Amino acid sequence: MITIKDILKEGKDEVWLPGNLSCPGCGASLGLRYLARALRNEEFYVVIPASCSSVIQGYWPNSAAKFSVINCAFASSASVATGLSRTFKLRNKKAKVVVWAGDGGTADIGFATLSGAAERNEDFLYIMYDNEAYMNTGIQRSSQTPYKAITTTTPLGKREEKKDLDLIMMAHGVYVATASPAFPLDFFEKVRKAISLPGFKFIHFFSPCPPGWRYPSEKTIEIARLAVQTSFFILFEFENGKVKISQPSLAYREEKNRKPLEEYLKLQGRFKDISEEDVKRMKEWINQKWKTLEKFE
Amino acid sequence: MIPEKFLDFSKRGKVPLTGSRAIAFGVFLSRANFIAAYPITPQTEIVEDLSQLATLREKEMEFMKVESEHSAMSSCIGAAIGGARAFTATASQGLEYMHEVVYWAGGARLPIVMAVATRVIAPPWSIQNEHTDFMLQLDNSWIQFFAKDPQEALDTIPIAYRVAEEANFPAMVGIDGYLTTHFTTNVDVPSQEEIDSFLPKKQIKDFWPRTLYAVVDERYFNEHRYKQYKAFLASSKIIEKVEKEYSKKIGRSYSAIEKFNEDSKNLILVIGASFGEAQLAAEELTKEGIKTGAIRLRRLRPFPEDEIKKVSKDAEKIIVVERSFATGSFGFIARELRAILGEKVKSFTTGLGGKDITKETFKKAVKLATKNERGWIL
Amino acid sequence: MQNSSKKNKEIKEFGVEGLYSNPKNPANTGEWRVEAPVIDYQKCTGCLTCFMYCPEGAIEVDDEGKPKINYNFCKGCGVCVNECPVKAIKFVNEKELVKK
Repeated sequence: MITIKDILKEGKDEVWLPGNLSCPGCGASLGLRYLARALRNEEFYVVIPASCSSVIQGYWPNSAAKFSVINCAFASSASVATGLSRTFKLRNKKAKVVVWAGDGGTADIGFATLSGAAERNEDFLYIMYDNEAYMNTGIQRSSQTPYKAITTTTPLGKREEKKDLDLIMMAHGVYVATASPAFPLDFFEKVRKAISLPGFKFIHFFSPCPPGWRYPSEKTIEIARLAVQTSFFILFEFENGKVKISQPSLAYREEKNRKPLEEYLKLQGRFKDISEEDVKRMKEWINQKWKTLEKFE
Repeated sequence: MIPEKFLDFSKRGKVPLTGSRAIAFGVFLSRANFIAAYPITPQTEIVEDLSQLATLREKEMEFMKVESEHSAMSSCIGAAIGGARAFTATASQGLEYMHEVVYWAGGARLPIVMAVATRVIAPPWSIQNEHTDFMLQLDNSWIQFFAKDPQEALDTIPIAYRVAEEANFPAMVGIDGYLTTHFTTNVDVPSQEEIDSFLPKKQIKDFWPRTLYAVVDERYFNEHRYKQYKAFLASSKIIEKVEKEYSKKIGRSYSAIEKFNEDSKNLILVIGASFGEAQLAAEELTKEGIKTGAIRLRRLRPFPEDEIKKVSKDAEKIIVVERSFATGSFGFIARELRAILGEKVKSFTTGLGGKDITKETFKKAVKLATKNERGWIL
Repeated sequence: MQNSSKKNKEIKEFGVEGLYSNPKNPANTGEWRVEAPVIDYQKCTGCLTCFMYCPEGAIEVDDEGKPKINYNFCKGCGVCVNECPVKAIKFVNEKELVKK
């Protein structure tokens, strides 16, 4: 397992430059910072569709990215990455292609292109940073918004469950992993492993958002950690038909070992109208998720 | 399936080809190495032929059938950024579906070439010929050509690539659905060597570590578009130079307009395959005493303003007969002509949904134009 | 021939500057701060948790392995204050920071 000292030895300077335009405490900015450091020894091209990330790069002519970024239309990130990665292969160019897309551009408007690229087993890494709503346009609901979360288009709380994108991507038979900014070394390992595998790889990155989830910005990492400790977000890898629960989530398999879900929910203003029945239903959903993953272990 | 005997590109020769197959041959001769397409009538044969041709160059040519036209153009964008010579083909619904990324490719200044086999846009459903889909793509910053027959379709593809790569704008080649795509003539196919001498290998400029297409705020955006506009208009000089070179090296000349009896006082103006019928109508009308000529507009963008002004200097009426559905005051092309030439431009719509356009249609149009400045021929 | 090829080069590259950006810190986001975090080096153990978790990358590491906050870019989000295992980082008012 990589350590902080190793990361520093590879380079002290940032590859995702500070002074970007993200909100204070942004999970996506932290994710990009980790991604850039994890891949700093490669020549890598990141395709970014319309999302918070297309704005936090900064305005022309300055860019916070010390790597190549290709901005593209909302629904087309997986397709642009397809064209780019296949052309590099044609030219025998040893460069890696990564997509860094939000949950809207992946699970909603970009879903068809995502599924097409995964079905053709295109050779690039697709990372969805999940802030659980359309944050760039001001906090509207997406398919990744959890049950009973308040957004501007679900003012009484979302009535539907979060769409299980991990399971859908597992059904495509590709490498699937989940990661959290509270466990950065685990994310580093998964990125480095995934980038060395052939074919389509999918990583689901949990990205807390202070203005969207309505919490004070200093609690970003605390909330990300609680999400894993309550099993609201489970860290695992899926490869060759088998699920491997990642080390940080292993301790929380049994319900009695998990931190109470209320601790996670009460920190966030988007869950302020939640009732006891809702919490019970969410706990059932978490148990169901564990049962599904265990079927593949 | 393309018969084996047609697959020898080392020698120049006459081959019976449909318009679709001519386009596929043109793309293959231009050494396009990334093709992403989605089938749609009447372009399907282009895609099928290219998938067969790609097997002849397995390690150097990538053919993908993607899951939608939006993805087809997006993949071409990704490929062009990566340094490939990209191609796609589509028609009506597909072209409208990819419209967002068509605009993106124009603004991103990527040298992609696309063939459009024109077809009605639904509803109501029809797979017949109509130019509306092509016309709706005007002003996307794409260079636009319209070919009238399989020979021109084959020749225009290497010309389009050469122009696109020298001006850094994408180029569209339109052909009539069914009238050209499914129509077989003997096409003179240049040899691979001849096309190689005309169209050199693509120059690749890598861009590590730069960010592409980031946010530009109001302080610079207007000026950026102004520069794009100037570059686009200036590309007409490149097009003229390239067409002269093609004429010298391969032996066929093309220009922005094709003229027939252009010193007449009535000029019929059309786009595409119906030029033949327009010429017949012009001859017959001239015999009847109404001096008529015909013009075919081959390049729609950048609009050949100077050539049009020159050719219509002495004409009294320009009778524009358009095979496209415009709900504005005048047809797509008639609007632009009227802005340049004024009231002598008359605008007529006909031939929608694949309705036959014959010399009788043009004769009717010329007669209607004596009293009306716009109308439909039903 | 020479002249026209030079002109062609001009058209090809004309107006494309607006499409390309270069790596450079976008803004001095230190100006966004309301309060500033300050590290108490007596308590700091050099675990570098703050360096890892800073969403901005505004915490640098000096040659002795101690974290140093870059106040040009620190937005004052407070993640470092919240996460430091020995509570060595505290928020101070901006005016006090200038004095230091």
